[in-house]
Amino acid sequence: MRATFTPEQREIGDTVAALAAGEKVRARDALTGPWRAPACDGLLLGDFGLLGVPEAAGGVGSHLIDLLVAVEALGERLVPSRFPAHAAAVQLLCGGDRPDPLPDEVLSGGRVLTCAVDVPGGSGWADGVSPDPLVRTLVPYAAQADGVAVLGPDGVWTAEAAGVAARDSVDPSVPLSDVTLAAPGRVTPAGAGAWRAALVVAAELCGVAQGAIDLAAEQARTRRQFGRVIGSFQGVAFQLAEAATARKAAWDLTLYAAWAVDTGRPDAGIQVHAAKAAAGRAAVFAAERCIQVHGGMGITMEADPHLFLRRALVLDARLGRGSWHRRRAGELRVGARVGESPVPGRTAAA
Amino acid sequence: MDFADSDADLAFRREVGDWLDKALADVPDQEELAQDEREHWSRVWQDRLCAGGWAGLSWPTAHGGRGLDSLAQAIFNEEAAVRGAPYPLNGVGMMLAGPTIIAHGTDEQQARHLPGILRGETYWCQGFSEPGSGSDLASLRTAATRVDGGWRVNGAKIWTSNAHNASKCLLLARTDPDAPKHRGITYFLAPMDAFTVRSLEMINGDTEFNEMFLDDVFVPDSDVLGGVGNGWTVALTTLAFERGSMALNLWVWARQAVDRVVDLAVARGVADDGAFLDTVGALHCDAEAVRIGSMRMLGESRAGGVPGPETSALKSLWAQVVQNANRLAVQLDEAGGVLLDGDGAAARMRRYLRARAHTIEGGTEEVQKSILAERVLNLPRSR
Repeated sequence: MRATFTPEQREIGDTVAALAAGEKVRARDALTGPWRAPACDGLLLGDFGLLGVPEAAGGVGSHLIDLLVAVEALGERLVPSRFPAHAAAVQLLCGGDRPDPLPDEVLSGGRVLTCAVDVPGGSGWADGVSPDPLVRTLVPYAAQADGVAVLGPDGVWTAEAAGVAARDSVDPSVPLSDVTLAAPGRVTPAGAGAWRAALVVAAELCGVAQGAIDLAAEQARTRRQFGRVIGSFQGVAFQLAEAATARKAAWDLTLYAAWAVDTGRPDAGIQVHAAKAAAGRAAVFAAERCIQVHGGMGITMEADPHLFLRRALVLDARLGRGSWHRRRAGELRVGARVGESPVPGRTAAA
Repeated sequence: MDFADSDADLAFRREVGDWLDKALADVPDQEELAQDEREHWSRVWQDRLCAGGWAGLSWPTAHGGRGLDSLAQAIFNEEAAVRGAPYPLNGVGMMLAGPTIIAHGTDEQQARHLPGILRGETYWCQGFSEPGSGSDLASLRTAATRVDGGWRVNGAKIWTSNAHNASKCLLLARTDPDAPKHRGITYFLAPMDAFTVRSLEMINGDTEFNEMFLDDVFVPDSDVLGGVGNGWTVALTTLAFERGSMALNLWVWARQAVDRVVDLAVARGVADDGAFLDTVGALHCDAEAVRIGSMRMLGESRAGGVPGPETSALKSLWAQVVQNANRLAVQLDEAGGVLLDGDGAAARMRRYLRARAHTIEGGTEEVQKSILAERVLNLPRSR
């Protein structure tokens, strides 16, 4: 057992964290103006575009965990970059046994994709009967992307959006749209694509949870009430300990699920559902605790905790709502115990 | 990051599995047994481990062990737990006393104490906790005073697992009442001939813990381990071994608790209920997080790191998932589990009540959260 990060993975984490720390365009900026690309956007799309892309899809065979480490670091600082959405789109397209090699311009970041999976009115990823099978919702940066990677019941494909209807996102630093698509041309089997894409979102959620915990802990170490810093009160400290526990659980689940997917383990599906559910719960919980620890300032627009909550809510809703993934994990767990899936064929890669 | 066994680990796991399958062939499901039957099988299991050379897996070969690392012991414990093996009656001897004596004992102490553990002749218990000291282990008051050739010990211990079967005790006592509380403690390898042991009946009717009373008990100088006044350091060694050896058992017990509640729901015909599925999904997340977190902890240990305060998060998660699964199981029973004459209902209630201990034993939930707050989040001490 060598369940430790490789030196390369530590380096990726450190490099992206440094990029994120130096970024001038913040999530907050989108509250008062239109979304604009952070300076690190192009660098991330270009230099880190091959992370986690299998060789069959034109990558260099790096591990999915390499990508997740980078995305986690962006989540911690709420960097409003298109990179995670682009990376999720790439992962969606490269999960099959014989994926089409991705165009160089996609892998080099010259053509920015976004990821369209959720069906309007549905709670999972393109899983149910949609009123219109060619509409997707919760598509991030649709107006700022050059193309869309789409999941449908028969597989995945790349398209240009036929129509983009902007929706009012609770997190303006992640603009969300409904996207209308033309009938797909060539569709390839999704394989583990939807799982891989969901893990990109799970990793960003783990980062958001960590960022919220760090911000809350900093407040708890410095804010004084009744003559003491508030972190010395168990009522405050224990909330943050619970958030740290939930975040650790979610990150461990996410890393393991990525390994399980990469190595084709039979339990990969249920692990992905568990990771996405746990990551959403951890991030929302941490952000809510962060607001509480900030007291009166925490409920104002002026403080930052609500930014973490906004991002957590949006990510929890994307690529299958957290509650849906939790239900799926339960169904698969019960199904495994009785020897057959109670609802066969419900997951994209089943 | 790679969660797969190395080739050597895998080979060892297979060797262990083959032996366990044979050795467990006639051992009944422990969950269905009364307490005295479970204790009987724990003794049988201990004898088989010793006879098969599985005691002292991680002990150095120079001391009669197999010379494997602590991960090997964890793998053995994991494979045994997965198969529902009894808990060995001398787990304290094999996994705590032996390694601690190897780490801190003199040649004479090692020669005197270790062979008896490997041969299954001496059973050990861990006399750390005291009435009144609760989670604050270092506040212990059992006192040892100097007498000719050794120490005279007075005081009381509590929560001592298996004391009623043990002949030796890892005993912490205060030898310097004037020193700061972590300094004036000495660690003894005490013979229990003169201890008075009284079993405590638990809320589920079991008697796994004991009280021990020491009235002028004589312990010779030759049974001081690691030097007078150095007991706290030695005790930390024992506690570290305890964490390591339990690491992979915890997830197995968590998964088994979830399996049982799923089986029950399937039998009751309620397994497709939405609220039930949601709960099982959440239980699955927590149980798997315990498993993966344990693997990461052991991986860091093998890579030369020291298990950090994050282990408190694992312990906390484990306690929650087992408690929640066992609560759900009794809730699925007739009348919410209060009628104990139903099929299997008494056993489910026994497990539910036993699980209440998980947020108390081995450091309370509150202690785990304080550790996380102070050492992971760098918040100030609240005590």
